[in-house]
This record gives sequence, C-alpha cells and structure tokens, in this order.
Amino acid sequence: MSTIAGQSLFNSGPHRFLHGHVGRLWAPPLRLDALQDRIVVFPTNVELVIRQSGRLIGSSEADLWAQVALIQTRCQALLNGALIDNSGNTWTDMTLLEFAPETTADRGRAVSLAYTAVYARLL
Amino acid sequence: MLIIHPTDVTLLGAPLPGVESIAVSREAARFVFERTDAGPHTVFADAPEQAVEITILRAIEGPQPAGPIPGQQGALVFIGALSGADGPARRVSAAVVVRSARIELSRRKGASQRIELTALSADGAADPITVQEVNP
Repeated sequence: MSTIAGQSLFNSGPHRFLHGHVGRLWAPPLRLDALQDRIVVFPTNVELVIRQSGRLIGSSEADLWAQVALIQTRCQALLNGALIDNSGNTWTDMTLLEFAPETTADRGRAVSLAYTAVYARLL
Repeated sequence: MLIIHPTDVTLLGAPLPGVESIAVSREAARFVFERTDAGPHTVFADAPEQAVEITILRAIEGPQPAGPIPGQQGALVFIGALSGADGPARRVSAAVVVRSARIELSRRKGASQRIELTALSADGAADPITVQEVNP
C-alpha cells in the first residue's frame, strides 16, 4: 500500500519506487576555456525526485480507465503531500508531477496498464 | 489439444485427405510480469498477446498438387474426439492463415506433409478455436 497526500491512487497493482539523484548540480571543467579550469558547483540543491513504476489493474475496462482519469486529474492539480511507499517510508511535501502509460493497455486475463509516475519536492 | 485421426478435414474450402493428427498449441507472444519492493518474487503475470498455432500432419500417397501457400487465409474444419475415451465427437473450426506447408520424405514413413497454421480471432477477444459437440 502506498499513498500520496493520503490518497491511494495506485494500489490496484504492484509498483516500485526509485529515488533520483540528490545533492548539487555541477559542471565539469571545460578544456578549451582557461577561465573554467575546475569543477563548478551550483549553489542550490537538486530537488528530490522519486519515480514510481508499476501496473494498474482494472476489474474491467471501465474500471481501469476510471483509475487513469482520477490519476490524471490529481496530476494536473499538482497533488501535494506526504508520499508513503509500500514499506512505510515517508517523504514529506512531494508533488505528483507526471503520470505516463508505458505501453498500450494490456488485455490478457486482466486489463492492465504499465506506467511511470514522477514525484518531486519542489523548492 | 491433440486430435488423432480426425475425420472430414477441410482446409481453405478443400478436403484434406490422409490427416493423421492435428495439434493446437497456444503460447504467449508477449508476457508481462511485475515485482514489488517487498521481495524477489513475481506478484503479477499475464499474457496480453497470445498466438494459437495449429500443426497438421498427414500422409501423402502419390503425386500431390501444390499445397497451401504461406499467407493464404481460410477456414480449417474437422471432426475428432478430444480424448481417448468414448466421448462425443466434436466439430472443431477456426479461421486460419497458412504459415508453412512442408513435404517431408523418409525411407521408413514415406512421404508426409506438415502444415503449420496461425488461428485468427474474429475480434481479438474471442477464442480463435470453436469447438461444437456433434450430435450422433
């Protein structure tokens, strides 16, 4: 069970969480520029980004697309709150920024849709 | 599904004599599976793309006209028993496309033909194979 802002949007199917890089943005030395002969570190921290990949499973075709429509609505409204993953780890102040189906919907024994979703802690 | 010695076999609208067996095989053309962060095991698997393949083996006696041509589409119909018991005969039918038709020669068995077909679904959801009980 995972939730974002207390809402259970993705629990119809399995999903996993991948942490993006954190720290500072930096640029390597430029060989042709004598003025930049060392690593440049930018002053602000990189925003925390967490990617979620998984599969929504519908009890019917209509149920699957109802789940997708709800997620789209929440995504477009920049749903913000605590993200709690399947293990209970919590990241506060995360915003649901993106939801993207990975392929066409799969119709085998079940109707399902593989997807990725992106959350970020906006500074 | 394996049918030994089916009767009244017609393929692409023409009778097909000498059929010894017809095998209907199914496989996943694409298979999906998912895991979670909780552990190593698969928690969801499905076969959203499937293929139904039919193999016909038949004995050939004497010269033969040109066999079915790969890409040809039509109907396969035959009657057979789906088990070795004295169950009712079944009429099996499917819309098919020919994948290959090979003539094989061996000193021991003589000439035989192996025809491989792909079965088509009417709408993508309906099973490509139709089985009906034949009333005696």
